[in-house]
Amino acid sequence: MTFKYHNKFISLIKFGCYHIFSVWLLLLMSCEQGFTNNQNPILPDSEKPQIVVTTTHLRDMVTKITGDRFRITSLMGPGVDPHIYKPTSRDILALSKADIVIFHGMMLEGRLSEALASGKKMGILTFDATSALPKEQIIFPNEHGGDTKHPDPHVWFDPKIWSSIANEFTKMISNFDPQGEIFYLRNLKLFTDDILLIENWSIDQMKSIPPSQKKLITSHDAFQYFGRSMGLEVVALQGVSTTTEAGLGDRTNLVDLIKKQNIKAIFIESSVNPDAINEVANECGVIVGGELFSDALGSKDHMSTGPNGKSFPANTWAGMMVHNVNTIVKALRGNSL
Amino acid sequence: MSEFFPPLDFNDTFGMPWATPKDFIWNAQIVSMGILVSLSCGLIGTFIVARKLALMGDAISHGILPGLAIAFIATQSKALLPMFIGACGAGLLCSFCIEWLHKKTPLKMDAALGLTFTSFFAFGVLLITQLGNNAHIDAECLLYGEIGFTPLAESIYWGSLEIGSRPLLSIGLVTLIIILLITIFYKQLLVTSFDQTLSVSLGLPVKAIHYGLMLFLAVTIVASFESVGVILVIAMLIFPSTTASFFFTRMPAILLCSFPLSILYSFGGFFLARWLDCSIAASMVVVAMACFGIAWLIGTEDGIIKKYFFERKLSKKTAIKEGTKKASSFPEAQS
Repeated sequence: MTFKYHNKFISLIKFGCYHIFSVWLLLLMSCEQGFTNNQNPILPDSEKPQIVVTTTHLRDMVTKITGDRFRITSLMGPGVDPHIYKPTSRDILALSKADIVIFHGMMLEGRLSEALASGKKMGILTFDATSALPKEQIIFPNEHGGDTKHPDPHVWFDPKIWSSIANEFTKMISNFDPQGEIFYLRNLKLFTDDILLIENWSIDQMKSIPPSQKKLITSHDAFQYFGRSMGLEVVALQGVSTTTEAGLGDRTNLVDLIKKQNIKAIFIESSVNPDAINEVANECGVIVGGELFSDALGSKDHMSTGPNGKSFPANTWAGMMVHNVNTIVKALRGNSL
Repeated sequence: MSEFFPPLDFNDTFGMPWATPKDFIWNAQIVSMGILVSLSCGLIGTFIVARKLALMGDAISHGILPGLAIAFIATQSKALLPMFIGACGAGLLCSFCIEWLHKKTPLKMDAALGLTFTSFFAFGVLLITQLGNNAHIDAECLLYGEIGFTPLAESIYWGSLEIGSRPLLSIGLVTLIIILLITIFYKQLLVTSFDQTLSVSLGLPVKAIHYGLMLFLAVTIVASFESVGVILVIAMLIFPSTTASFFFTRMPAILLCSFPLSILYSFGGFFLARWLDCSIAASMVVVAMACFGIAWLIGTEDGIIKKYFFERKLSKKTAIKEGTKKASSFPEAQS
């Protein structure tokens, strides 16, 4: 058996080796890229250091605190579900150009969380917003017996936790840019004052719901923190992640619960497909109380009236809370005013 | 329409990714990942397609899910090695079941394939649901990586020296092994792919070669898709060899075509994604499809233009010629 083409394969191996080697060389070069911190308070817009944030909640917080000292790019737009977010080419470009990447962590962003948490490389400073939270504040869903590894990531619904994350962020950013510290601290004060105002107002509003109706039923399990701080019992059709489908048993249990407890309204979420909840509502003969903002904030044109008759746009944390509280209170209060 | 196709800013699309050293390294890692994945899948895919098992890649990529789930239950972590072993084991078992169903029951190959991998996948979903509805392990998270995150992946260190990012190194190693093995076992792979009877009469271990190929298919799939996602892997198994077959009929030429094609796919996909601002993996598949279309049109072997404009009158003659060509396809195997 002669073997005519063997020579070509030898050259093929050579080519392959060369290729691997060149990749390796490139990677080696990457180690030498350090973190550059050339700060100057009066910079034109294009030369400001760039912060990339993942979720809309973080964008609101970072914008409020840093003001105009940074360029801020948000990877996820309004209404995007972070559990199933897929990056486009521009998102990756933004990441590669970033000086600081602020991400939520706790696997909220799926693969992206994982990638950002594991790699502090390529000269990018990463900030895991939820990493510094004390364990006792975090809710661990324990459907299958005390699973302590996987926390519920929807922490922004707890005003106290959100304040403390803002606090941590301010510390980090003041470290990065010491000249702006006073500015950041002042903004932080305004931000946390707003949070406190809305927290008190929300708890006040919730009092008008009769105790028997204090149940919040939604598409996926995002509102545990909300329920804890507002005194609502939370039941969801799906688990913490939107990617797991609701089992038949979950659905039957939910329908039973709604019928047995005579619940007036259930809710859909802006970033989750509403079909399943609409079906359940039809089956039980309850109304769909409205759309809540869960994993993503809304657009800036959507205004809701909150404490002291002020209007809040839905693309901010305050607007999101006010909208959710208004929607829930309106639907669950019924006629028993 | 103008919303769908933004104007092509030449400098932004082609120049910007390489403007600074940092950008260059970042984007070079993404493009290299694309090249290595297309190359390793393309090389092994050539034999898979020749064996009329084109969708075996699809089957194995879904069939490994229970393996991943079991590895996760056993170790309670997403550590690389157990996951890898679990995935390869399940992939091999999947291909074994397909073969068994095909040989021992009256089922046709495609039916056996569809039946096996859907059951495997369903079983895997069941296991994962039983694990609990937490965000950390779900099918999505296990099955679909993202090529754009390659530069963010963790690095491998040798002592204190940073060698490179892990996914790139692992796929590079797999590619190297595949090239080596194909070079060494080329003859055996070729004969068993085309002529079972001949290979049995030559005393070749047909079954061992088949499962060896399946094992490497599983290894390639696992190494690729935890970093680039499943659709790119399945496409890259099939596209390079089918595209090349419009120009060449001989196996070595088709195998060598995987090299330029994988470079073309990777760069093309990268720039297309940049221009349209969309997913890089999907753009690579679109570029592969475009290449296939062009090859089909202008191909020298069976291309549309040649077939309908040059050989129409000679169709009868061509048929005879084709027939004789196919019969004498492997002189080296028979000599």
